[in-house]
Amino acid sequence: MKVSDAFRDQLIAAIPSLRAFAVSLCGNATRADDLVQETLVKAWANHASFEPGTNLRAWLYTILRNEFYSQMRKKAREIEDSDGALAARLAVHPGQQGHMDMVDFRKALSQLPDDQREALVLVGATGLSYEEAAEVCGCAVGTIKSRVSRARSRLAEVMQLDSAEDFGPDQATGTILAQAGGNRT
Amino acid sequence: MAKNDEERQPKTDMTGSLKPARKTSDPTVQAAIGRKLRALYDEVANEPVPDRFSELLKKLAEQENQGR
Repeated sequence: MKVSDAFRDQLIAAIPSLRAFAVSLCGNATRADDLVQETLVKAWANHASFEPGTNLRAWLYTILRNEFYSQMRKKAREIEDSDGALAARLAVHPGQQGHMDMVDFRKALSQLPDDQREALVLVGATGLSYEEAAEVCGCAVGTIKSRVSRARSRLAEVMQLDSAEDFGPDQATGTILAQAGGNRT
Repeated sequence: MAKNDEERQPKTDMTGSLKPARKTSDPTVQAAIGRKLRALYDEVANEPVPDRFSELLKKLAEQENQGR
């Protein structure tokens, strides 16, 4: 069966969010685009196994995620490079220098366990439902919910432990800090 | 204020990860997390798509037309 024009158009439309998801997984723009490329090749070859009417983005995230983890396993066998991977994740995009709160947030996000970060990104940023995220990650909905909840708690903790200066001169966040301070005592 | 906070709660740092306090579910903080998360994601998602991908899809279509 030939790839339909509609399918191809949907693939094209999904590329921006695939790239964003890939960066959130591997933290490296170049590697992310390689992952997206692999994903598109596989999606094209296996287009017949996509069920029309289901969420194509979720299907593509699943392929991308599987590709990422299989590369990770391969890599882990070749070299022990977890430190390098983490360093890459911590790299700051040029556009964000000067936004300390975003830098800290990115760092805190990168330090979450992989399973928690991907669950949080899928549910909190890509707009997938818990059910769809569970399918992407191949686990139960309850597992996704608990990973997201742990990730959120951890990030909230990190954000509140940071001093007010990291939040910048934002009144809303100043209020949060004040409230948080009040809750602690 | 920042200094005081740090001095006042060194223990939160050690117990926090084991037992998140009520504050971590503060809806205002959670909304801020959601915003930052989407900002990071959208930053990449809003970038122009590199040419390599349209070229790739063109190549895949060509291969298919040639019956591989």
